[in-house]
Amino acid sequence: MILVDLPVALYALSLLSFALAALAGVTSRSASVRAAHPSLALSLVGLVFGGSLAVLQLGAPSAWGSELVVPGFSAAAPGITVLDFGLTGLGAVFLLLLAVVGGVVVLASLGYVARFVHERRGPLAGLIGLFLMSMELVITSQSVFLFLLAWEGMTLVSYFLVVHEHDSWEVRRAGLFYLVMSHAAAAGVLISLVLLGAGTGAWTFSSIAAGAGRLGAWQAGAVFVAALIGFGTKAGVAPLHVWLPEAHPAAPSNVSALMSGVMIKMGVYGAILVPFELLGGTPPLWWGFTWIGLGALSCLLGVLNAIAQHDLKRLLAFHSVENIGIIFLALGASLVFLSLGAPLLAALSLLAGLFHTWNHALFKALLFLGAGAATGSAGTRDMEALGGLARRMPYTALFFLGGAMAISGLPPLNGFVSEWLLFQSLFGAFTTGSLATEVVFTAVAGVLALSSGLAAYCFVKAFGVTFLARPRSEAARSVVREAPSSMTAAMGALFGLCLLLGVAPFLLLGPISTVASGLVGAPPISYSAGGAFGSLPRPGSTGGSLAIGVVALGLAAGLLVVWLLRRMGSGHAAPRGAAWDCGIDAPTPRMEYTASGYAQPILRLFGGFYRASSHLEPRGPGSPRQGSLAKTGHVEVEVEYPLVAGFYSPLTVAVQSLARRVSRLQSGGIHAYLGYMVLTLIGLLVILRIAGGGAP
Amino acid sequence: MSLAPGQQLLEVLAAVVLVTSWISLVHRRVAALVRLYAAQSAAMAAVAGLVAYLYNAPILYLTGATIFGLNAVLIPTVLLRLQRDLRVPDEVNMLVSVRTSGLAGLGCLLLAVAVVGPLTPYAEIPAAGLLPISVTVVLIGLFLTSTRRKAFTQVIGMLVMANGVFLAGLALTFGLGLLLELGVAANLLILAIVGRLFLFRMKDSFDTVDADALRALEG
Repeated sequence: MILVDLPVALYALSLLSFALAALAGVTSRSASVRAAHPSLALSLVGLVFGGSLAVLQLGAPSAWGSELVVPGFSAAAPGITVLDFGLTGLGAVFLLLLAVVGGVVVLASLGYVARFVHERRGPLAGLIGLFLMSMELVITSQSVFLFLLAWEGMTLVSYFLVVHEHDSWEVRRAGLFYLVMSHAAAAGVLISLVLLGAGTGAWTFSSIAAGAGRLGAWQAGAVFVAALIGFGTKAGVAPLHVWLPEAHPAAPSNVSALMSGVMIKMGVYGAILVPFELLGGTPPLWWGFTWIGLGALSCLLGVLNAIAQHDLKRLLAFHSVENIGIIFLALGASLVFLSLGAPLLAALSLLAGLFHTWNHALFKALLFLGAGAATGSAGTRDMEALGGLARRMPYTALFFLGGAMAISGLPPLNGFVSEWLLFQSLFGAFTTGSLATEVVFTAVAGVLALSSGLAAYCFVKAFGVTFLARPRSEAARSVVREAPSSMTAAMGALFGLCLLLGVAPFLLLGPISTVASGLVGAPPISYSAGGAFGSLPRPGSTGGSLAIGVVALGLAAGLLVVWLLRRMGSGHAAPRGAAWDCGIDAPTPRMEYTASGYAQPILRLFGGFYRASSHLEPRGPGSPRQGSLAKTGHVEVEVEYPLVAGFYSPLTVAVQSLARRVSRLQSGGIHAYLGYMVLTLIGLLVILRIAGGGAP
Repeated sequence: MSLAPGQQLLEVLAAVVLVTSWISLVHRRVAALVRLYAAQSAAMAAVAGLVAYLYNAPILYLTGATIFGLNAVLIPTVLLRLQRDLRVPDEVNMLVSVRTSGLAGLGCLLLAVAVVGPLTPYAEIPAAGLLPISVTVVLIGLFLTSTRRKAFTQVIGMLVMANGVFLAGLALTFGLGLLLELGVAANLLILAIVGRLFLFRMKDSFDTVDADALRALEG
């Protein structure tokens, strides 16, 4: 009967397709674009199967929260289940995310890989198949060993994807940085899961969850902290985010879209998995507040650093940090509500976090694809050298603008919905009766509002400087064509999804809220239901409710009215003529508002966050310079990262000096080596004598 | 406590093994080290034979014969010829002084007794009394290997170490471990061959058997 079990069949077919995709991509020797297509198509098939499995699991209410463990795979050494597959409700939320965003990105890659045809580097398409497979395995692993295996596999494959353009020194450096951080993170994951396994004596997730009550408080705390370090690094939560702004710009844009859209969400998945599913119970208050603190830090650091960036992809990477911060705020709020015994509010916060995870995946993949189309055509990622692309790439510009609005949290797009939900749950703190929570949550709401505003500020820059006005350089002028149709189609699909989830969030909120309620043990969140026109959940007696569909209708109606008014007034069309150019013949690109200039006010205002220093570089050797009245020049703004300068750099120096000291052990003299052996042996014997006490 | 004569003889032979390895630590002549090794191996062979007799494990006679033929006769002969062919000077170059070496040997003995001694009452086998001695011999061999400058003497140190392992095997698994003992014997032979090859190569490349010359290979 097992063989005809539909979910099992879907799962097996999905993995098989990915494996074939990897095989097809790796074995193909041909350098043509077509050679990559079979591999990408197979990946797409795998995603369709995986997505169907997720929909099946989410769509059948009876199966929600229950596990679907594939029998026969539990090859067991006595007492330890080595392999265990399955899909929980939480897993299904992420698997569907992987299928949707991954599918769209693979679609975009059909056209995007054409860029890499003449450069015989690595099997990009095959690696993407492998990458997708490893992420599906992470989600569907139900045992410690399989999870760790899949996790490491995901990290390694993504490393190879990051260093795809490995002939550049910077790319190799970024890749190495990413690999080192990821391995430190993997150590955190390993410690966390092994502590859980050792503490409960069980190695499958379901039996760990059943036995987690036996863990002592400090044991559970250690598991939580190790998981935070491990999964937090992968997710990119500050101060563990430093790999993100290095790795994302280095990778090809479709890979960045996958990594930022989906892979860092695996960190979120793990971060939810450990305290909510595995540890369970009532968490101590400090867990939630730790997450909230780090989340708030990520929000501010992410968005402020993004404003200072003029590398488009690096800017987007910093926005990933900001959005991961928002997600962790929501998850932390959920933990706090759980500690305070308010499961309904906990479910609402968790819902906000999960929904924002989805939203960020959608609009960040969209933005990375847009950035890839723009910077790929122009050949530079420096915004100061772009500009005027909207005329040449109208669709890319339109969809990028849509993504920018979504990430800024503007209605009627999806980013607004999840941030609204989060605000509602934060205000719920006033029903808990805990003063500390009230104060902290109010402050956090302020941080959230600030970072949303700054994000909008930042994306005005990102969109305006990149796409509007005139080309600022030859590179930007050289762009003559719209991106390949597969890319614009993919961006259009993502934009459509952003709009759909903004107007009719209930399509997704329903299934997710059931999962969220199940995870925190709360009754289902009630809506004033009713399809697209239902209002968003109203927790308890506080908070408001919002019929987002009505708002969208109102907006549409308003636009219609404006359009009609313009139509009616067209009899008095404004005269069109040349703009006044201040007496200068033709405005040149040098007169345009620059990204640096735009960012200045914020850089000054938040000077404490980053030590920004600007210096004026006179243009040419003999250019006159009289105080601030330099005739021609060029302002360079340098931003220092206190976190990097204050923590990571000293850490690197310390590790390197330690390594140098250790390398002195390698004297080359055979006697030294033999001596080490003698000393080690004697040391072990002494330890045996002291610790073993002699009696076996 | 009075022991049966056979047991007493066993202890004496074990003492011979111990003392020969200790003397190897303080002796300054290479040829003497080889002969000490031969004597030690002969005592080991006698231990094997005696254990075979005392505990009625005839298979150990074979072991004893192997040890005698290989360790006490063949390998020393090869080593002495090697010393002559390679014109290895007969002086042992030490990295630490004779006095330190001797004291270190005593330290090894103390450590081994401290660590392994408490285990012996729990062991079910009568010959377990050999265990501290075998550990001492291993440690002494290791010490010899690591503090002597010539590759030639290092090979001898390893052989002494192998004897210690052999003795431990005898003490713990006698009568059962024929396969193990044959394996160790084969290992010894290979060790001697590899050591021989190594020394020839080294003499060719560096014109010396002083292992310090290998420092030049440091990467």
